[in-house]
Amino acid sequence: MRGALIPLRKRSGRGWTLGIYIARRLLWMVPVLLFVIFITFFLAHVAPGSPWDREGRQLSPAVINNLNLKYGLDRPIWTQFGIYLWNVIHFDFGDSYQHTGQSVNSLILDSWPYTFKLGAIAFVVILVFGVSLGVVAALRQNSIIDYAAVGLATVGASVPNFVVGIVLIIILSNFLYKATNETFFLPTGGYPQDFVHMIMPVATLSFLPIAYLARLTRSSTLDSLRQDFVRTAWAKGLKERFVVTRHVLKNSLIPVVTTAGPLFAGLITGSVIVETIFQVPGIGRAYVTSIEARDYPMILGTTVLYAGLVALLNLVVDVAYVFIDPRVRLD
Amino acid sequence: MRSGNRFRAIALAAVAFFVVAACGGSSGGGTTLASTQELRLNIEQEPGTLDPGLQQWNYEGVVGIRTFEALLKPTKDLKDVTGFAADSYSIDSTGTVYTFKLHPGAKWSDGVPVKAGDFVYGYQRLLDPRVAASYASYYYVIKNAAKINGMSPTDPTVDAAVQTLGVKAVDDTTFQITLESPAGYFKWVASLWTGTPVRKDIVAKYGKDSTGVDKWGIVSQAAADSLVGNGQYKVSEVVKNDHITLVLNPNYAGSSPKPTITKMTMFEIADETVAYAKYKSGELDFVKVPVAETEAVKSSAELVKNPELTVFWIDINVTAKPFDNVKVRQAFAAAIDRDSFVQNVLKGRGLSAGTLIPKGMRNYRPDLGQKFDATAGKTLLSGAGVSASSLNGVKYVYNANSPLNKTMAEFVQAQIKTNLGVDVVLDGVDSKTLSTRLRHQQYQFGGPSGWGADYPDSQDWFDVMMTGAGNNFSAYASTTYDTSTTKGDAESDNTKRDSLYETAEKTLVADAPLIFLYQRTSWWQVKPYVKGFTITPIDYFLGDFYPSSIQIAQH
Repeated sequence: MRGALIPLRKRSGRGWTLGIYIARRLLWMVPVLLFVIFITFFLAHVAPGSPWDREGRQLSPAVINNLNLKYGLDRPIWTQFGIYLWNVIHFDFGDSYQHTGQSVNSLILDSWPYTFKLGAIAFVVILVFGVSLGVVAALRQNSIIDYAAVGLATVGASVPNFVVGIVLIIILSNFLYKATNETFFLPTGGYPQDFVHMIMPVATLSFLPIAYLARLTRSSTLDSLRQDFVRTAWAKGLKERFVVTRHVLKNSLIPVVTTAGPLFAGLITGSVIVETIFQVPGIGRAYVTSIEARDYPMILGTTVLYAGLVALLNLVVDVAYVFIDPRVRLD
Repeated sequence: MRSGNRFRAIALAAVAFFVVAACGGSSGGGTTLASTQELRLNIEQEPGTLDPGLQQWNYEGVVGIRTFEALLKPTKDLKDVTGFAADSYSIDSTGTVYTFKLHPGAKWSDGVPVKAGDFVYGYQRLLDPRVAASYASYYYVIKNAAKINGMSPTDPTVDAAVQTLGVKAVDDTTFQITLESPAGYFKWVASLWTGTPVRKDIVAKYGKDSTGVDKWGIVSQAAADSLVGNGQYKVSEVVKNDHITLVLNPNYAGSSPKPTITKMTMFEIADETVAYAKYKSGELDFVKVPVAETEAVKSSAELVKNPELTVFWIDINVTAKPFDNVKVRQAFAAAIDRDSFVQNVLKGRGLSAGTLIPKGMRNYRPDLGQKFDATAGKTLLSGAGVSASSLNGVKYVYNANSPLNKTMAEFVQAQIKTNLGVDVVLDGVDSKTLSTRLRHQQYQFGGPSGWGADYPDSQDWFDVMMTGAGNNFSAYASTTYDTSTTKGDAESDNTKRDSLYETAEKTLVADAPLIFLYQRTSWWQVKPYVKGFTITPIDYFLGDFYPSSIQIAQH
């Protein structure tokens, strides 16, 4: 029931406001992305070393000259920037230097599905485990389950995922292989992305976020449990199942939604370490190698993609708020 | 004079045939072969290209050398070259004209016969400035090569100029190369994997991308069709950033014996710890041993050691204080205990080195080398009138992302402190920054840098420290060194070459623009069921040059 003081709005009016809001936010992304491109472009070029620098065997000056001419690196930097911007407007992110003859677009399209699949599965796993662990811990506060959940959350938050990954490999691959007389083990690779190959990467990727989400859900659930309307629900003699699902969860999940957006963005972009440990041929690994190789077009392409995704997912979260939390207004 | 070569090639082929025949029937020598002859190995990184002319790194060459055959290849003992795509070669009396007899009946992977004209196109392409091949400079000894490759890619006369390169198809099976000078080392250049025949019609068929790169050699699944080679294997599968699979080329009709391994899966695992874990759980058949595992595998039955033709050294910037003084350089070179380095830092995985040329090569002269002598180091310093305290704060630059290089830097710091009483400041940077600073002499001393043999000839090594050479990070400039090296390179008589290179080595050791440190030995773990490796010191993976003899036993 809405209070009488809030003026009634027509449905179409609200949709209209939302449309304008989304359009405005999308337009704002243009200067944001331009700024990201500007900063990344110049930082990449300012960083010491050129794409043709290397340890060990050096290229001859004639060869370096030929390469510079081929990729337009002989031109003044502002001209290069102008040309790059012009191409980006036409959705052409250029050709990679380290992968001869392959466009940044095709490289990203190649590696994107692996990263997305891994991130999406991890996201579901995190939501399911994180939220249920948090809710159970809150409902059975100060029980064994609660202490276990809090303990796990503390460990999870303090152990970095490259340690988790290596420990999993040692136990589930190497040790298991020996223990089962060289007949069974979990493969250490993230390719092909079938069930057995996904177990360890997903577990490693989810460990910290599960811990984080469980802690968050636990405290917000405890908070909701103390609210008057929950007490009323108990007083009405409702079963625990109904109290939790109808009254507690709906409110305690609002902070979870706030973190879910950035979390999802982080999962599908930021699995750099997990992709390296488990050899997932995804975009996180491509990003790291492109920086090491000073592969300017690839660095820029991936950075712009990251920036665009984060901006977009933040928008999604803000819009989702309108539907979840009645207190939020767009204007 | 080179007819001996043909004999050697035939003899080798006969031996190889005998070996294969002996191991055939899948149970020879007591070995029962596994039904699947697949070799799974780690090449560490995805090749940037499958086009052999554009390749430059080891991890690219492992695919290149298997999918394409160059004219020659090194013999197993690395003392000479032997036939590969060419059965034999001869040199005319001037020492500048090399005539190669191609293997008759050789075919491309699409069944078309290999012709001398394909070599002409392959070599012309390699030196075409528009192609921008990284290895082009290795071929500058060919007539007009340096001139053509140095042209502007936009010059309209490039097409005409490329035709003037000193290469010619005498007939379909005779390929001729004319050199600028009678360079005795050219046979080795002809054995580099980058100098392969290329099919003009295939390159044209697949076209160019927006930056003018030929698309036939792109690392993608399309390469299974577009990459037409004359090698024993062909690409069958490319999974980006995970692996490349090679299978036997059914149309192969070259001179190499038929391999037992029918499929090679080359994984691209950059992290050595991860690769080692994969070996442990049986996902790789052999692997390099990470330094951290050295003690653990020392008595392992699966351990295989391979001394590499590599030398690592500390670079010294001879153009700036305090190392513009040769005595200071010599003092530092005398103050490093290389044996202790090999034992304590490398854990025995190498040999101490005092010269540019490594053990296992023709001009290896340990007697001429730099030696550890702390007293002599101190005497050199005081003799030069330089006090140890005036050198305090001298900076050693190194790659901080490499654990080995970091330990090495700390070792050097401790040695200089103990043996000369000088406080060295360590300056850790990332690899690209390090190479930029070394190249532009923005450092005092640091490294390590090193060299690995492209081919086991002294020319490949002494050219490194020539005045103005790309890898001469010391900015070392010595007329004596340059003259003897240049003369040695352009000479075809081996005795004369030896004495010229001896002068070069002596000069380099005495001038000490480098502090030589060690020669690396690579350590491998090999599953007991992998048999028959033929190992050479320039292998990137075990059996790199002679994979035909590798077998997978029943297990």
